[in-house]
Amino acid sequence: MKKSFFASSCIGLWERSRRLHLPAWIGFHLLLFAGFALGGRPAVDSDLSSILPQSSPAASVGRAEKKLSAELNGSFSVLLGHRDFRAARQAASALAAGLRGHPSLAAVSLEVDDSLPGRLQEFFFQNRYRCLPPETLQDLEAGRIDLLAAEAFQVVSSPLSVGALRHIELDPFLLAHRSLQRFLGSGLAGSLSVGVKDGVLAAEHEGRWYVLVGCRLEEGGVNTRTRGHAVPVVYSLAERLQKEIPGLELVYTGVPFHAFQSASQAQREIALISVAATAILICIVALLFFSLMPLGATFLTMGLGIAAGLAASFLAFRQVHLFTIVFGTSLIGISVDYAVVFFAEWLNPREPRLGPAIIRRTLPGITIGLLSTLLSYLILLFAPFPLLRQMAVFSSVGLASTFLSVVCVFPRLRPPRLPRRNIPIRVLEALLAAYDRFFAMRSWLRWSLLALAGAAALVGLARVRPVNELRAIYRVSPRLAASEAKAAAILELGASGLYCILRGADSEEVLRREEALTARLDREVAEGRLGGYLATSTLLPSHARQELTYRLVGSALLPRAGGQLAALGFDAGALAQLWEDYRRQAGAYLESAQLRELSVSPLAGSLWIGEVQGESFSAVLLLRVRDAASLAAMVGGLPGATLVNKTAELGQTLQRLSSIALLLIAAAYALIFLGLWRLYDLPTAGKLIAVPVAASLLTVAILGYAGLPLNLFAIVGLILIPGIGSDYAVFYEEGHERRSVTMLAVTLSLASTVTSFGALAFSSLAGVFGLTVTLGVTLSFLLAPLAARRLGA
Amino acid sequence: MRFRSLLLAAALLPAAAGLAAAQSVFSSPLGPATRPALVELCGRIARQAVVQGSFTQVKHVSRLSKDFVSQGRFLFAGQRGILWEVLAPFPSTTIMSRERLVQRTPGGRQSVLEAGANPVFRRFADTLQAVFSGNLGAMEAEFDLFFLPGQGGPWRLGLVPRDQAMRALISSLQITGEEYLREVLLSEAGGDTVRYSFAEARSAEALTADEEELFR
Repeated sequence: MKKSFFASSCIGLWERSRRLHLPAWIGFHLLLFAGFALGGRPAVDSDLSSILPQSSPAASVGRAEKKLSAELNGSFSVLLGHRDFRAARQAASALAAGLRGHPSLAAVSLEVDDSLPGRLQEFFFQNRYRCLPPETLQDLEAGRIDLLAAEAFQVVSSPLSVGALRHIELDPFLLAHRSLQRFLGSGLAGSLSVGVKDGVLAAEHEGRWYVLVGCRLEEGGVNTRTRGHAVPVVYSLAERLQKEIPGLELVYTGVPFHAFQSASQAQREIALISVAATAILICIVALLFFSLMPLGATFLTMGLGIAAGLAASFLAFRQVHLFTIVFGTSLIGISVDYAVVFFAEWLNPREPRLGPAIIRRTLPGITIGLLSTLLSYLILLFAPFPLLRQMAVFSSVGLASTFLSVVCVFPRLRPPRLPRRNIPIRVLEALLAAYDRFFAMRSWLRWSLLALAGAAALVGLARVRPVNELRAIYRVSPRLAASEAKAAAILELGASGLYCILRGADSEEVLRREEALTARLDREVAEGRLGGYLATSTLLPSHARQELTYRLVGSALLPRAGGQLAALGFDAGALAQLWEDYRRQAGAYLESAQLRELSVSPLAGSLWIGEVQGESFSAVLLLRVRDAASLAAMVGGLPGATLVNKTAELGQTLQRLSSIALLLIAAAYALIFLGLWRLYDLPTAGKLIAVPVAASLLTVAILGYAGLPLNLFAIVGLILIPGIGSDYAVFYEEGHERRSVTMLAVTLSLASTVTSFGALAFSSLAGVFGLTVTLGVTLSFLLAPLAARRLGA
Repeated sequence: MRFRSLLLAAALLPAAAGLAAAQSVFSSPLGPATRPALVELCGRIARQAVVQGSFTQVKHVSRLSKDFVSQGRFLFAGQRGILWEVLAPFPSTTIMSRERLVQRTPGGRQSVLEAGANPVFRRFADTLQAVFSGNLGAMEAEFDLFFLPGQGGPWRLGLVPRDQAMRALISSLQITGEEYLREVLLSEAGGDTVRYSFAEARSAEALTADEEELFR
């Protein structure tokens, strides 16, 4: 038989290589750890967005998008609110002082740069022949000069026009003032609802004054692990201030707060899950064996497996995501399986209990188990999802390490005395008797019961909702969610998560495309479908637009400047000076360097993405979008423009990954089935593979009944079931002559798996994942004895 | 944002305004002796539900050594809002209510600013409303007050912004009046002044239906 050939050859190989066992085991681990030690500083990535694949179709657009979000995601704000403005102001000063100089912060801003208004006025005056609002250009094109003259007079005769009149003899139509007004209305300089009060940015909301403290992380600051992060410093300063100033309210907004929350939550949960799982396992093993040796050996094996998995992941990826470690921690459960199968034999009263004898009985089973599990993990290596690839490496190497420990080191251990009363074995024998009774039933009754279970499963499957949302991975804490909502209400930024990326061969082409886009956006704004937008070309028109503006001013406006200057009280000399100034500025284009020098706001700076891989990019932020569909249709028709809808795309991306993951699961089953078919005959292979298949289907059905979504993380959980479920089936198949010992081993491994994944089910990061694995494994445990060969059958 | 709010204030301030007098009101800070008279005055203003009339605005631009004169009519409607209509030389309209600011330029272009979207505007609107409806508490929150009671002649009220950023634009406001406001003098930090003289003022119990429509 194929199977016995496989069994005899792996036992033969084990026997012949006995002298190499210890060196092989030491060599495997030594190589891994040496590689890790030489591989440089390991880095743990806790940035939520980096576990997701790039969503944009064009790779270069994706990279541009990533550059933009790195900029936008690196800043955060704290609003300090109080009924008394002075108290809020005082608290804000204390917070800013406490944060300044923190190594992970690039900038902390509280006081308003009071030179900006003057600088802006000067900027728009210097560039009044190059940069004008589109509606002014339309007035010039249509020759509405009287109107421009009248509006300029209105400004002159209004109060507080002081700045606007600074250069009136060279700008009698107040063109600079028009550009400035449009700029101030655009929100490019910041939130429109926040004003300057007592030298700081403040907003009044529901009877309270909120003073804004803005912070910007150093590059890569989002990724700093929880230690050395600025966010806990903010929190502790805030706590102190709240004690000192009664009635002080703090509102937090920005990606770094969320990144910190998910990272610190993950760390707490890793600690908690490891401790809980370890404690429960210690109790189980200690109660069964009344000996410390199996316990110590199991835990050393497990620890070594996790260390090996981590070392391999760092070697392969250099930067490992925190989530990999969270999920990998559940390996504690899986990696003890082989150790447990081995030690269960120590409780077998009927057969020799020395190491080599045990290996001869168990090696084929655990080898098949390892191979089938490795197969299903190796498939994950091809997933287009960095997190899954990292988990695959972590888990495969961890399992291989455990397998080597069991096969190479355990046989050298001396078994303890057999406990006098073998209670566990008796309990399990009773459970097995229940299975026997099921098989003793009349076949119609047995089949009816199975059909009933099948029908119930089908109903559950029909109720499954394949839903994917970011919430599946990251549940924002209610406190932080409330804070964000409040900040949105106070700042009224209207950020919709929608923006356009514009791409062009050079900056000129990008700016022209931006102008084509903003011309249409202006119509959307006028028709009320869009609240506004932020675009670089508002401040930096393309050369083509600049040239057009210059020509229009010269041909339409300046010929009428004489009358305007006279009405303002200037003599003829002023007109000559104006013309001379105009001619001198021929060919003097406004360039991006001047804009950078102006440094309006960090946001305005971020919109210009610049060069990425030989192409130029910019972003146009869309505010208060009311009709995303019509925008998408409009942007779709423009060359070089891509509408990015983060929220919607995230859902779509997760959905796409889910489909790929489902295909990977199917592939894993196919491979395992082919492997089993090579070892056993076709009916046996079919029976064995039926265990994890049925367990997975029933798991999904239960999710359906429970109203839980079948999201990407549930599907990732299902990926683990083929490996574990077929392990159980194979253990029974191999151990059919010693069913009770086999059941003991499988029960122990179930206990450890359920302990760790069950704990994960209560975690905020991977709840559905943990639940899916727990259900799948438990169902595999229950179904496996049904598939196994029965004595005398 | 930032000083946009202050420029916005520029558009609204014509309505706010002050006065000139022989004795500077700014040497008479509001004190226990003068407070009762101001409280009484504010009470009187508060009872005038609707006041309307015509105005002449003279803006003196020190840089050009030139005065720019415009004329029009105004309507203060207590809690409802303020209508400011320039008729000559270039017609334009500003309607300010607690909810929104509507401006029409000489070319007929109209802009609407919702107060809900702009707390700075709301704060400013509240301040102006405070001045014209005699809400002393709200005035004191934003300004240092100076007061010379009339004693048979016109009274004078001086306002100096408390906020430093506001003071960088407006150095002071002086308001003169008897039964009605007579004159408002706005002194800008840059040296320019705007003087509003009010005439033909009359009060009414309520807005007419047409006027009511303007504030909707």
